[in-house]
Amino acid sequence: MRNRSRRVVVASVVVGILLLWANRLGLLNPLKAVVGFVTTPIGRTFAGAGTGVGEFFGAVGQIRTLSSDNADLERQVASLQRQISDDTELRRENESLKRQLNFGTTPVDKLLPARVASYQPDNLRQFITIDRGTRDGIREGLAVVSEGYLVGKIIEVLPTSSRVFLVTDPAFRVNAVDQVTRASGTVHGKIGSGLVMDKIAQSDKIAQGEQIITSGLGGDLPRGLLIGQVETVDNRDNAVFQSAQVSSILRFSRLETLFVVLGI
Amino acid sequence: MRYIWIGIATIISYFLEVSFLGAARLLGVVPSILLVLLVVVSAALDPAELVALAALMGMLLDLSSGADFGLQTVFYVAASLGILVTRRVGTDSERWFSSILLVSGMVLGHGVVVAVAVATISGGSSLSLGLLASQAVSEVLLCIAYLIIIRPLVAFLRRDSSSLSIQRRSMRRAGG
Repeated sequence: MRNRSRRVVVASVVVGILLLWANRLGLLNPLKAVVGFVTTPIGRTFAGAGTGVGEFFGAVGQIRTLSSDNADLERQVASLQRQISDDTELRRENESLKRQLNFGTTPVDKLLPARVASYQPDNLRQFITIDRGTRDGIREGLAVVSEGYLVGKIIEVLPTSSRVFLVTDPAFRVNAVDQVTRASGTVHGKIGSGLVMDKIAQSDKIAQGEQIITSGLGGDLPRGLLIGQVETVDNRDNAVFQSAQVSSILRFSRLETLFVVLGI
Repeated sequence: MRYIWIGIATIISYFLEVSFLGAARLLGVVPSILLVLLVVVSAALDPAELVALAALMGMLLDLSSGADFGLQTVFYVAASLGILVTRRVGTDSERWFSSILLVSGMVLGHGVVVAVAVATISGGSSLSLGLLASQAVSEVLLCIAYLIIIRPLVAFLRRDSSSLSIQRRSMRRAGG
């Protein structure tokens, strides 16, 4: 019995090393495709049910803060209504200028809807699997958005599913700019506290409430995707760069329907 | 029959972990319930079967993971070896106290391994010890709750495996 156990342990180690090597060479992709094909539809159903349960418990936990949240939202609605009236004029002007310059907007058919099939099985890394793959025209590097905000980018594609690297992962990096002041920096995830924009030059100005968008530089994500709003700015005299806490309206743990940006 | 039950429990736990609990995020964490299942069924398996099951569980998780391919397989195999070592020193995973202790240890170990992997990638600047500690406590609590739910399975498996061994023994006697 002891010899058999030893053989199994040695075999596990050998098989493990072979699998790592095979994965690096992409030899496991057919296996991943089969597993993805079988698990994606089931996972999508389970994830849908889990989101409902999570929403319920989340709502129960938020009862105490509901009244202050409501007051905040009312203030925001009033401010947004004022903004809408200003924006209507700007939109007309913008459309007229675009016509003159022959610019197009993102066609709706270039956004491919997708649903979350599974999540990363640990609490620190941030990846999700969606139910769309090469069969739907997805390829590596495409941006994924939800409610107009950047969710992440595609890092692995299988025939019927794809892996999305979320912007909230600590290893994710995207070049970004402040939409108002054009201050540039790098946005990455920070575990437990959302997003951070750092490497902002001390000479650049950045303020609370300003919107941060992708710059389109140095990567495959297109320019102009909304990442979030500046919440706080950390500007120390003895630091080389400034950094800012950025908040997205998205709840990355409760994503359901997403859109893959097939092209702009 | 025992293998079928363990197989079904593994598949259900896998979907619960990566899809249902991943979306629900109760207490803000995704509990490693496959690890709990490994501890629970370990009493009904011999060492070779336990290591093989652990490798299979880790492999399934690695196939659903976006990064660090192999990390889960290595951890699960190491966890199964840990269970075997504790079995040798007399810890019986059929006892409540021992199984809670084993599950807590395994879950904390899993958290540490993942945190080290993240720190290696991100330079550790994005990790906060307070957050990791609160996540670990929440995960241990959820895993203990899952342990309480699925422990009847092991009683069933033990009954099944003991009846199987009685059958084997009687067949051997009849053959002899």
